[in-house]
Amino acid sequence: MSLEMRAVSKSYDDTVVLRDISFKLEPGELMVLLGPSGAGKSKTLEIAAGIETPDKGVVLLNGVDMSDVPARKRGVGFVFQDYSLFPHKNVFENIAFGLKTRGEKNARERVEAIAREMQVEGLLDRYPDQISGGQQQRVALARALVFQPDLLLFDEPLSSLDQRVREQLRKSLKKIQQKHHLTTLYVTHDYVEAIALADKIAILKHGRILQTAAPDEIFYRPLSREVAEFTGMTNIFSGSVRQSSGGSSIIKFNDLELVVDSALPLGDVTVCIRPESIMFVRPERPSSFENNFDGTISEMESFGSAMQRIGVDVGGTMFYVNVPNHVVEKMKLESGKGVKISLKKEKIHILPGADKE
Amino acid sequence: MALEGDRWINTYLWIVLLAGIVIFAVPFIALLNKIDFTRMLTIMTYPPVKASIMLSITTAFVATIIALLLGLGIAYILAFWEFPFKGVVDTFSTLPMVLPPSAAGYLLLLTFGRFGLLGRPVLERFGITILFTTYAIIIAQVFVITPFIITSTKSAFLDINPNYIRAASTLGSDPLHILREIVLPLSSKGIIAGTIMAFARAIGEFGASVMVAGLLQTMPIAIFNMTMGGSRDEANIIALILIVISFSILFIFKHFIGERR
Repeated sequence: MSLEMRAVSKSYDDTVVLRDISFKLEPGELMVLLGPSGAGKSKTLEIAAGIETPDKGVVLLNGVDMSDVPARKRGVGFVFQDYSLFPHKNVFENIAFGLKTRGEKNARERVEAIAREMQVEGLLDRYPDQISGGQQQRVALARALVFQPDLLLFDEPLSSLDQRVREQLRKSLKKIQQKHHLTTLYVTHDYVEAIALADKIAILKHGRILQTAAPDEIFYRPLSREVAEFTGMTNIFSGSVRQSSGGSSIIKFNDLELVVDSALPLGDVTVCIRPESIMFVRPERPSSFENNFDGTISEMESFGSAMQRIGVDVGGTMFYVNVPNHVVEKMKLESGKGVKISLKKEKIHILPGADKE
Repeated sequence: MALEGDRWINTYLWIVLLAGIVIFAVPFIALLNKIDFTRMLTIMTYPPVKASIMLSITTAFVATIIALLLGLGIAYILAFWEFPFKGVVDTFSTLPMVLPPSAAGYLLLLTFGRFGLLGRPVLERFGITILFTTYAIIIAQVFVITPFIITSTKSAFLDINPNYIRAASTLGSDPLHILREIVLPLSSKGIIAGTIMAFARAIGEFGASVMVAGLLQTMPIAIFNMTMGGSRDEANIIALILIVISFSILFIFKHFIGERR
């Protein structure tokens, strides 16, 4: 099933929650709505589900206007951040709920099948307060999947789980989504989760979609500084194009010069470099990349379970670099050490103008 | 607790214990002392005594059902609707809990009496008599007890995670199904607790009903009249019955609140 929103707006009293939200989700596609809290992500989901009604705009499922169709008739599976399992019903009754309302026969078989798939088949007699958070979320997922919805909506489903459970569940979620070819809208504020899951990402801020694109596009070629900052672009500098010829340009910022791979008009620009795009190279070896700087490591911080984020001071300009732990060990990277960093010119993304936040 | 180590606290606690016994237990002993248990069954079958028992039980029962029907809806409106002056309406709905019952009864006189607001223009025209009938007693009780149901039901409704209701509707539930499967089961404890308290209060209601009961006597009214009229033996028995009923209801209430999941 496809989901489309056209110019959806929503306000409460004087507060605008959503402005002019438009996007289209193709059948089987997983789109992540990524944005800070209060951006309007959950409200967008609720409008898609029919729990909330938009002030303006329409929601289309398979091209059909859903304005007059209440939530209960949309056939949409919704998974909540707090799981929202019915506390007075056991796991079996929770999962069976959506089948009972539809008067489905052989509910037991179907509940048992989905429970096996979600690995909660041993918990059917338990009550929600007798199982762990991760198990509760598996049950919530089973409850949303059992009636075979055409569209699945997730509202930060993993954010209250601990790291290990979150990663496990994220994997099984993606697997199930692909296996059943489920059209999915997924809300999160965690860009790592967004990269792991999304076919397409929409960045939402202050009730507005700033950019909708494939993850690579969003992460490497953001349309604005706002998007760049939100997706973990750690190196953003204001500079100006000084020279431009033959398919490459030279940008000067602070006291440094960068070579980039496109001919840009002279003038102010914003330079964006992702922390994964910068390499440490051994000082004695010549680098095959165009941009090389000598600096000193001044900050080191664990980033996720297998990475370090390292701050390199290059004559007063800080570059933040993400490096896997094994590289840190191999190259003996440590605070205070003099290092050489290197950057391919294709990896530099340029935004016009030098606006500062 | 570990406060008993202090001499002053200990002294205070012992004094309180003794005072408690004097204030709460001695009156019951005084009553039991007066009761002639050999004549108990005979007295219970005296027509005025028997009538008052029957009247109390039936009016309290009917009033509780009416209060429940009213209270559930009002609690829902107060919990989930937004409207101007909601705070005032909310306070007003619980006012009868603190209003002196005789004032409540007086208000009902002003409403349903012969010269009351509804008396001549409405009731008399249709030949309906309310004042000094069983209906008046029921109305008086409903007036006094409905707030108990409203208060406890409203907070039970507000305790329900709104996502349960949203989840149910995405799973295909219509409003009636949500009411039956989610809202009522999750608020049943509050509703039942409020209903039990309301029934207990209705059985014991005196001030409001006495203003509108005329010659009719519920048990509390009968105690008053019989005491004033010198029929102490009858008053003793009725008081005992009321105590037993009230205690049983409270006991069930506490058991219920403590035990249910």
